[in-house]
Amino acid sequence: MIKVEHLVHTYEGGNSPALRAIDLEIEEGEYVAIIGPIGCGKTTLIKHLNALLIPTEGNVWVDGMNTKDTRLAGEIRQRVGMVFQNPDNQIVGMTVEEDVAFGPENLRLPPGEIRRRVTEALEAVGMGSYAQRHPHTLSGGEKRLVTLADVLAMNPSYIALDEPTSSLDPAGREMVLTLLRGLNKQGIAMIHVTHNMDEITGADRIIVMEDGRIVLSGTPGEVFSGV
Amino acid sequence: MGYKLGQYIPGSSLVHRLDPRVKIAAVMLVSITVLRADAFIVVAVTILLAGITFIARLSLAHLLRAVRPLVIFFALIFLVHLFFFTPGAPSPLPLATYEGLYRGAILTWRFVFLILSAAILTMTTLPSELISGLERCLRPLRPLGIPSHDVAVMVSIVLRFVPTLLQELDQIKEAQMARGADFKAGNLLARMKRVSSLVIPLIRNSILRAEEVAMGMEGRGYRRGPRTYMRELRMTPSDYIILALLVILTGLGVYRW
Amino acid sequence: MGRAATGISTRGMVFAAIFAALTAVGAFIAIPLIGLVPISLQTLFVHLAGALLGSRLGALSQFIYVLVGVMGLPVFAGGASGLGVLLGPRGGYLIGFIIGGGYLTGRLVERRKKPGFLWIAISCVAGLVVIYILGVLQLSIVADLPVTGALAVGVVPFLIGDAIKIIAATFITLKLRGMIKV
Repeated sequence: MIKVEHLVHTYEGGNSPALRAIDLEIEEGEYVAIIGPIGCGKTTLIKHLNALLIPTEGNVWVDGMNTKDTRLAGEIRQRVGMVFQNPDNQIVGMTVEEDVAFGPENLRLPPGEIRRRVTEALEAVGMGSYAQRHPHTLSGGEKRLVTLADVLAMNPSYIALDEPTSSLDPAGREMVLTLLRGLNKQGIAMIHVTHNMDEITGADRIIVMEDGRIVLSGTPGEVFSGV
Repeated sequence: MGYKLGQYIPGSSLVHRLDPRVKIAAVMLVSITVLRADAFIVVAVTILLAGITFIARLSLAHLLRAVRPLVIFFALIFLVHLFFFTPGAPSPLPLATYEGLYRGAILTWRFVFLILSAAILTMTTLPSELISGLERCLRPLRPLGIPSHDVAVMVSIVLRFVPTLLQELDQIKEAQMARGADFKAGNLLARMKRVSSLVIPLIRNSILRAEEVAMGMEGRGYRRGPRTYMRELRMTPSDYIILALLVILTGLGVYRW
Repeated sequence: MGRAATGISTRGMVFAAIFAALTAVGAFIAIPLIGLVPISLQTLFVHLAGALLGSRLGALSQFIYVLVGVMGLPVFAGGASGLGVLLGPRGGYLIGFIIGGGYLTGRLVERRKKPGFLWIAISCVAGLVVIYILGVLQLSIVADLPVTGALAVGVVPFLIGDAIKIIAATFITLKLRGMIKV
């Protein structure tokens, strides 16, 4: 379980906090959508979930581990995979398979285990035949799938995604959403940040943010009737 | 975008299959030998490289392509030696001496070897294997504070992003030409302005990119220091034999100095 | 770089790597100059690495750039690569990129809290002088040329281009330095 307790975040040099007292719990296997206008703090919030940001006030617990404890950062980042908005800047390997291997290599797994996870992760996103391709030859949609394989290779319990379908065509968008639902069915919790209402009708829970606060939270039925 | 990552030419020859560490060592050793080579060593190394080229199934055209970027520079050095800075008995060519011809030829030939031996390495080794080899070769330097793991990661980022940055540069250029910018006309100041209008967006985007790449790497559990690797390197008996041969040959070459 | 490298963050590493990549890209861009051979933008990025990243990261970025080229990837001027380039007549310039362009320029820029146009330009010139000293030394030793010959082949043809690149590098540094917080 991820537990966010009274989280406040102020960026260095910022006048007003980007997050003002967030309280949130995310269960294992849940599909949570976070929605809100640009600048509402949703990206800042998910960066806290895998210790990329440390709370100015309050606490974030991932499976009982406090993100403020820097010694636990490696473990936390293995449990919570992050998928950022621009896939191009998340791919650091020279080839697709080397990129997917990057995470497991950071976890210091033995070579055979890394190879096995890379193959499995690429199969899971349907990119098995792209293993040797160079990233700059891939389309936007294909890059997005590689970044999903990147986090899957780390065997996460949760995946936080920042606008994972932005800049995709409708077909690519549908493919990614289907994939996310499939992974969620296999037990991986999804924390899906978006500004697109259509994408989140299947979520277990919708969280609406505004100006660094959670203003509404509930099932899609509850939230949409409230809007 | 036609940029090719390296010059790798796929194959399954003995040279292709050698451990990258052995190949890197080979290039180092040949380079050292050639640096002070006399005519005898030059001939010996020529035969050696010809043999390796044959075994690796590379063609003369491949080798020429590797030398081409430096041809003008080599020609310049050769001519300078031929016509100027070498005293000696005059030759049938005006201003030139036989000593100049000899020295110019040996010097130029040496540089061609340096380039060729490195080119054969990259033509027969995948970039990712090269990085693995490099990382292993740098490991003994770790006690000196040179972190081989981090160096390997940085090299890999360079290779990953050079093609992307070239694509981006093309896009910026197209966008500005669509707005009527002409990169070939105008006075010096105008051209400088236009180059800045090309370079500034490129750097600006690169800075933003670097921030995101670093964030993405940390999000995937990267921290400086030891990590494991998917690719394993294993020396086979043939690797050891070839390494031993190379060391002996280099020893003989250096002995002649 | 030795001990210096141990205190560098992931962000610092990525910045150094991206500027190494930019230096490689610079070697591919050539601008036509009136009545002269086209000049490549490579040294523009060498100056920028030092002036924008500072001494440690600037030197690191150029070290990585040279390393990538030495490994055989075609990132040196004209698409050349390999250990041969480093040991060959032009190798001194590459060492100069690390010591002069990366380290010295960065070091000088760091000496002032908010360096102005003149100071940045002077820092770049100082870096360039080191690049040329090392370049000419190696050229004259390796190619067996007297220093005057090395200067004629290895410095004089590039001076106008260098002046232009240093002015451009200074403007760009002033414009973009606020973006980098390493």
